[in-house]
Amino acid sequence: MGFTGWTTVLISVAGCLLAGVALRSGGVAGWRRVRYALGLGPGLGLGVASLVLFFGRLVGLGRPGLAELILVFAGLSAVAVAWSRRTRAASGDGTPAPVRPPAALRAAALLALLLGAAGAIESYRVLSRSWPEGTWDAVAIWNARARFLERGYEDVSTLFKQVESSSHPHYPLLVPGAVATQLVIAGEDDDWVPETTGLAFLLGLGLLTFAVVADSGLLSYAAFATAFLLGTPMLLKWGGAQGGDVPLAYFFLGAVAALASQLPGRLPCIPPVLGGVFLGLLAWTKNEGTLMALLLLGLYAAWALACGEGGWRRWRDWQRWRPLIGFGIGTVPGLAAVFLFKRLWAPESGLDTFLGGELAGRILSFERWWIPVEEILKRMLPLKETYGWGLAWPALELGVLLAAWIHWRARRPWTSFWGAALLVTVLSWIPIYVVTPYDQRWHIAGSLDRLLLQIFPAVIAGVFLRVALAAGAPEEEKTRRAEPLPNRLRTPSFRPVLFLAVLLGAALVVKIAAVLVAVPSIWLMADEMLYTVTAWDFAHWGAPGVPHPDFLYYPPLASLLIAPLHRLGLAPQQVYTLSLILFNALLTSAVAAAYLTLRRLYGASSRLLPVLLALAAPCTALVLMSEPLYITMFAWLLYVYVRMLQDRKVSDHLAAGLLLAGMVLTRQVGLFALAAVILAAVADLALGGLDVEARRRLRLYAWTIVPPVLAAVAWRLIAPGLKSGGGSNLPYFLAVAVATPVKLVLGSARRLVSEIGYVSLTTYGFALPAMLWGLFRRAGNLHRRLFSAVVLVSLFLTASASAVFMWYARFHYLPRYDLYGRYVDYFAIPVLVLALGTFWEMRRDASERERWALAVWTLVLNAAFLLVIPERFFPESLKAQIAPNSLGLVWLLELVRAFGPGVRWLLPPAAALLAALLASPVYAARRGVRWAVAAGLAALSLFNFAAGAREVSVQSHGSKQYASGISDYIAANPALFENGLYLDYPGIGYRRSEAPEMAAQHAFIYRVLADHVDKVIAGAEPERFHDRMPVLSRRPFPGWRVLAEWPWVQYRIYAPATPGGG
Amino acid sequence: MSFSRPGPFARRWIYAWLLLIAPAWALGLVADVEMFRWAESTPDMCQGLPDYGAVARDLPLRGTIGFFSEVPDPTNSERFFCAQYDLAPRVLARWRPEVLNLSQRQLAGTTLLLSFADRSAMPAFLRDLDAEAKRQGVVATRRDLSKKLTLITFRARARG
Repeated sequence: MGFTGWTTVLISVAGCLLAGVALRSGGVAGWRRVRYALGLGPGLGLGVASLVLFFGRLVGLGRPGLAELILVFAGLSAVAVAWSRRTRAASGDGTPAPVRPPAALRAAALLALLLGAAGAIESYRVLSRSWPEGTWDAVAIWNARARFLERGYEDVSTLFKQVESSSHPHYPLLVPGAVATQLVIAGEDDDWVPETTGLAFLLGLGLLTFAVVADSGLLSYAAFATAFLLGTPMLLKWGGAQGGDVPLAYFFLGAVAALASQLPGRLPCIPPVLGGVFLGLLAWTKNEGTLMALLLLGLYAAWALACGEGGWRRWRDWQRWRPLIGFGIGTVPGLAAVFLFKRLWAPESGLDTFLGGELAGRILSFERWWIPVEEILKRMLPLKETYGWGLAWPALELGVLLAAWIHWRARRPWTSFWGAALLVTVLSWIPIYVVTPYDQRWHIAGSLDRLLLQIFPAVIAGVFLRVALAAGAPEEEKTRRAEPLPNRLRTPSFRPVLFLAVLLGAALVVKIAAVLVAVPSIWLMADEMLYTVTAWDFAHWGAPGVPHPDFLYYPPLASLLIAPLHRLGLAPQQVYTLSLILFNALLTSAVAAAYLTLRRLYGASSRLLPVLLALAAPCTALVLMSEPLYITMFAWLLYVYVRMLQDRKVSDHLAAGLLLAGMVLTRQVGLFALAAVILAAVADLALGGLDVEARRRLRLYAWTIVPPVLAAVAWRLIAPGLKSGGGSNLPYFLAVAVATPVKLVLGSARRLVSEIGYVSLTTYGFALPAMLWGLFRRAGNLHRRLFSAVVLVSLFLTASASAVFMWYARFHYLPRYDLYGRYVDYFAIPVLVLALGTFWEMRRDASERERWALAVWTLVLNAAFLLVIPERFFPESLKAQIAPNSLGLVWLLELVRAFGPGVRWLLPPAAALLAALLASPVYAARRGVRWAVAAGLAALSLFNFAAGAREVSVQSHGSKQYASGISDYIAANPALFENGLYLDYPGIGYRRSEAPEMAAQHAFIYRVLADHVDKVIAGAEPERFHDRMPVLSRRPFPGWRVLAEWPWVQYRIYAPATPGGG
Repeated sequence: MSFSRPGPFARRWIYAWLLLIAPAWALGLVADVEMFRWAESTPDMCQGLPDYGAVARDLPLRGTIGFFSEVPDPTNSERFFCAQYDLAPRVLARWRPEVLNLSQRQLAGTTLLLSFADRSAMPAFLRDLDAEAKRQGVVATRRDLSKKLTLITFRARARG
């Protein structure tokens, strides 16, 4: 038995010649043509050989011998030559000589290339010795079908229909066909042919990568790219496997390079028809290749239209479609082969398996969408495991960032096309993994790395080409610069009111849909019950009717807003849903407030800004709490406050006063905002001097300060009258005030600092640098300074209060960080939208130094915050509780869940990168980047929302396990809850296992109430519930009496066991 | 100091990146060497299995051949695919142990290739097979093709 691999050499050489002729027709000359011919030749030759076998068999010709094959290649070359004569005028290479890198770098590149190539060949030798027939897939799928093609030549079409489905008889036949053709030519059946075929694709991939990057004019970068490619363990492993993935990667790279080269900014390297052939061969290699080819063609059409001369408006100009037509013609053989094969030979298309079964259930599962994303991210950020990729992906990601950054002003459609092609390809895998009928994780584990391998060479080539072009570009070259800030962004070309109305309306529709879909049951938290009961009392009795101290901690405004709905006599679940919709509507209006504020401060007017703001404000009102109302009023207060400082009108001051009064009557934390406004007023008056103007300002401030003070006093006067032996919250705050310094002295200062750090991290870690920078950079503006002071003092007070409270609570009855989310949310949304607006403002006139300083500052600040947070917080937070539905924290915890606690250290660089991006000239100059950021924020916002909804929208009460148990029970017993649901939730500030006395109390409550309900149902006179409660508990749970006496609601009580016993 | 146009500053960053990815590349090479070591100690995909190719001439070229092995899936898959690979273009259909239901199968006209690594497990299977063949009125012809391969053909009993 001789060396039958000569057939591969022969066909590859024929392919190189054919490619060379075709390239000549595309005007590619000199060494460039040689490089591309060597790179494209092996795949082209083997692909054509495969197509010849398939079509020959299809039309009933005999086996393709060597003579027939030579005839085909000669014929194709003749066609290409004829084409070349017609288009020769288009040839020419006017690339300016690039700046050469230092000699040491060139020497290193040569060394790396030699090392990489030698390593690749040696690895192939070792792997081939170990797997003479190839790996599992090669035996089961590729080489087995090559043998079917060769040996069962006469009836192969019927044989394929009988082959077992696990052999994938519906896979296209490029690799098996190429091998079978060679076996026929060699006249022998041995292992050399598939081995040399695999090697041809591997080396061809290296040569093609070299050729693409060498277009930059810098061979050293091409050498680096090739060495990097050939040194990647994953490529070598699958390169020696004799499978279809490396060939697919090869054709994908060729197709992307061909398409990109036809876009403005690149010298054409691969003629459209030849590129089309590669697209067709891409489809002829594997099933996913068809999807890739169609996506690439679609993307190219969009790019060619958008970036060509005249843009979308000149779409009728058929000259612009010429390359696309060429690509289309080139794809015909490959796509036709795929179609005919699926139609005539294959037992099924391959889609049937995926689209069968419970398809809708698979698609509607959020988990199934997240798992592929998670697995892709794990490979992109290999913190725990490298999956056989080494550090190749992080290295390339750095390169992508670098490539995106440099030459930011130059518009290069080919670059964005290249990036979009990769991104769209990756995104296209996700729905496939969602609908897969196999076990999803098993399917991903077995295929994702190979999918990534399919795009890997294209990533390397794209990054290195981009970087090499930048490195080699002469210094004198002036790239085409985009406008730093297009004037159309400064002057609105639209009606802001109409636009805002449409935008907010759409946001509201989404939120209402979310409320209707995502809220699994009503009154999941006891706090919701408090608002409901108070509202019911207002509606029916005109005042809070349940004497309990806990009620007095909750000012009445939120309940008052809901009360009319109860007055209408609606069922409680209807009131609940309508209340959520109402609060969401209010919260959505906060976006308008933030937009108007920023417009006042910076004069920003654009479509994108309100979109950003709308997206940045997540749908938090999924539980019936007063936070949305508070946040809304806070956002509007900021707007009115700016107006107040700028215009000094009575109406603005009064509006601010009313809003402050509303805040005070919504949450007690509103007093902090009031304090901040008072401090700022004092500063304003002091700085202004005691003149006539100052007295006028004093009168104006009275309009602002008196209403909230009156409101606070009035509520405090009314509230004690409602008490019946309950306490007030004053002792509680006094306890905090006394306990805090004592605890500090006792040595837990670090813990306190960590609390502050944690609070800061979740929101201010990102926003604060931008706030400070944006608000104080023009220190001469007193109004701005005052505004800044109000915001910052409010932030500081809130952060301090929540930190101290949490720190106190964890020593008493709250051993976790339960309530952070809620406290942070008070300010999170306004702060974030203002921070975004500040970044928006930075587009205009910030110097590059300032921008870099901001990124560094963000990095340092976040890192410092992380340092003071105990490491155990992150995993324990996941184990023990529901992630607070606060901005930033949900996704951070989700990342911790996916990657482990180490991932949190990515937060500082990530925040810094985001800060740098938002403040960067790239962001300013490129509309695509701005919209990409908007899309990213939208994804983040939706993720926050989805994660919150998935966690039953409970911010932080109780353990996750407990809430999941409740949720499952509700889902399993819908009949029990058809009239509503009230759950006593032992997670309000404590857990049973940690507070035995509370556990005993709750056990008693359940028992008594269950008896009570039974008696009510039986028509017997129930024992008075409150008669027994005070004896056993100093803190009777609110609302029981009202609940039990509501005649129109049949309540069912469910008391599941809490985790951890108790 | 600007990335806004090419120049020494941008170039320095590019060199820094190249320097940064050098360790990543070197780590990849180390992983490659480890992979070679692993590959050198890995047995051949179909090594140690009976020589299916040698018995191909004894099998019918047309018609599906039932393939049965006592080794349960998924480990059995390797043997099955190696058999299919060597015996191509014959179409093999797996008789999986876990779904084997002899009474539901039409044995007449069937060709069955048994691949038992453990020969002691075969008699029990053959007994069941014979009993079912008798019940269906089918004649079973058995041939040992190699130490581990047995070919069984079933044909309907001649009437009269």
